[in-house]
Amino acid sequence: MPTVQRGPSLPLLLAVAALIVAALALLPRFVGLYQTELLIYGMTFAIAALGFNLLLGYTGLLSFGHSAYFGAGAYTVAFIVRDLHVHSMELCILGGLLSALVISALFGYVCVRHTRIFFGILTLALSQVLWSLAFKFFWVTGGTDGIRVPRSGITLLGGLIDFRGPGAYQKFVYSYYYYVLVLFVLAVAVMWVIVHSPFGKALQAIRDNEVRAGFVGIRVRRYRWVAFIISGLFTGLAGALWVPLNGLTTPEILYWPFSGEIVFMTVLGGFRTFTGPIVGALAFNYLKVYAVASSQYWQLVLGGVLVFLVMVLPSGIIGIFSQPPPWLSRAAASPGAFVRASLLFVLSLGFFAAIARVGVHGNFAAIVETLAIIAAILSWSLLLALVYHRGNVIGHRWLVMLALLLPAFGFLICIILGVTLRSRELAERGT
Amino acid sequence: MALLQTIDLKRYFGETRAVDNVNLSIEEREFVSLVGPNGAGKTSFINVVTAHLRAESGKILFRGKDITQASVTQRVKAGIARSFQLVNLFDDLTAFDNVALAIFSREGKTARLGALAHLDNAVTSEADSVLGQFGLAAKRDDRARDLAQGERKLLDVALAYALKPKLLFLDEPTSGVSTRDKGQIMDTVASVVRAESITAVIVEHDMDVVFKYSDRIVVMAQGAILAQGTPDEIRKNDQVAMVLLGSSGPDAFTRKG
Repeated sequence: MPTVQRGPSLPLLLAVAALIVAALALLPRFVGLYQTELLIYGMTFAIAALGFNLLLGYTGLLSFGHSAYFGAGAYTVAFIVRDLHVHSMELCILGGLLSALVISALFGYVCVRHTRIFFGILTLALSQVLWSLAFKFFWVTGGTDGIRVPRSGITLLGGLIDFRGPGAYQKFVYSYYYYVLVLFVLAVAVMWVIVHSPFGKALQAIRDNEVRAGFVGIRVRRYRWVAFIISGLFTGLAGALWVPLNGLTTPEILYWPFSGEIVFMTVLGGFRTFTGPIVGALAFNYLKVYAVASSQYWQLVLGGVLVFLVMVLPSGIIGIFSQPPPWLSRAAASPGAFVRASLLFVLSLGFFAAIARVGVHGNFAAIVETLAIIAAILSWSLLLALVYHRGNVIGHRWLVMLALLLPAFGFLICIILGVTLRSRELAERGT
Repeated sequence: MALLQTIDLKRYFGETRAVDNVNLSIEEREFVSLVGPNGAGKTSFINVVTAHLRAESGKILFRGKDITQASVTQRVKAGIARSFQLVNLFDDLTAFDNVALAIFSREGKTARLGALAHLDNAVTSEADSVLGQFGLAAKRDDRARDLAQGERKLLDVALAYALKPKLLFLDEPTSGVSTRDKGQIMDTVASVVRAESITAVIVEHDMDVVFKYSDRIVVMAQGAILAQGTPDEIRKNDQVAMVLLGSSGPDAFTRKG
């Protein structure tokens, strides 16, 4: 029998990845400083979510304490800069990884003895221990004030690039963008190899059936532990990268709601897919910034999104395509769904435009505007998903999808522009 | 020397004597059937030997070595594999990945996290040939949960077989499948096991199947061994017929109804 290799087609994947990386590399030329900064945040969170999902999506363990490893990375960098007067970001990252390694190995050793809710509660409890340490030992950690990590205290590439003197902020954002982009690409590549390695398959086997995994000779606990440590390392790297960007680390990133945000990002993107957490982290970042900028009730918006997600799209944004929920498969079979989705899309866009045009201000208008945007994004995604899943019937699937994608890119840019304008407006109002 | 030998093996569940001082030895390349009424302790016996359950007392010798305290994975590495009465698969993995995983594990390759699984040609071709042997080649890329019950049963056995064990326990490989598929599954299993000269212990209720394939039959009742012998000896054993069928006589096993 000839050997048949079926699996991810490497050349195609590499080509798509190269395109996306090229687009990301060019992006700062087209968007402003603020957008570039937002994207850096998005990428660091994506690294964290990617690490988190090795446990949730691939090993079947829901951690509610990933703030611990993010915080470990972040605080270590802050300690290194403040107490050791080391400026090299590379050394800081190494330090951050080392402390994430130690803490995740320690916490993981305890946690992997349990699964399901017991695992979740243990991770939560242990992360709260770190939080209380950061909170109470204020003479070391600065308490609620946190530790400042000034940009001027950081150098990249072994001192080659520093951020002192005039124009340091711009210089920092642009060079740090590429710095994080490289590490982000590296992290994604490494994680992709891990989940497609025999080890990754073993983790998935443990997720599906730990009893049987034992009976094919896999040492379940040890594999879970290794997965836990790798997961912690990724999240620790994210924490380390996040500090100079934020300029400050506070106990908030060790507190459990931040763990919840990492869970949220991953579920938003779809935890049963590789790209889900990446897309989810980027989307969540924009969602949160937009919600915060447009309403003081932003938690309400996020809560609404979460409820919607769990009830309608349990497989997340990416899951729409890879694992369509039953209602979507049914809708894709009826032509009426297209008309309804298109109608909803046009209506919500119209709503958004009308409010923007009239220039209504105030909380109510802001909420309506946010809802209109969310409705527009959702209906457009729905259209896209419908076309995707009905592709075999209507043919020319990719052409239709491309046609749908083009205006969507325009729309996305509008949103980004909208966020920029609004935040500028807010900044002006503030001064 | 027997491949497997149990000495006074015991496991109770409270008052219930699931495995009650069982002394059984299994020779190499034997095809042994384990029969008995429901609750006789057949599955419990397998569970204890494969470390799914701890033995309360007694000893398990495998190739002369005491493995009573060995863990599940240690026994798998030593060469004991099993399938399950209720299908026990990696449901979200494809049929291919299910089998490939067993091979990766056998070769000690599951610790590799820097290599791509699907580029391992040796494992890929072996997994494909195992799927072929079990007639599952066409289902290669289907997720295990999407397979039909008979196919799932076969895949469950294939998973254990792919570990290339010396001793293979098959816990009711044909339960829940139609009579027609039953023969096909048993033919597949028996031919594969004989071709690789694997020692097999099989739990089965269908006495036609048992008589047809076994070298030796072990009858269990209430946790203990009631009788053992060749199919002919068992066929003539009135005590066994009474326990298994509720009636005895020279033609108890062939009489229908």
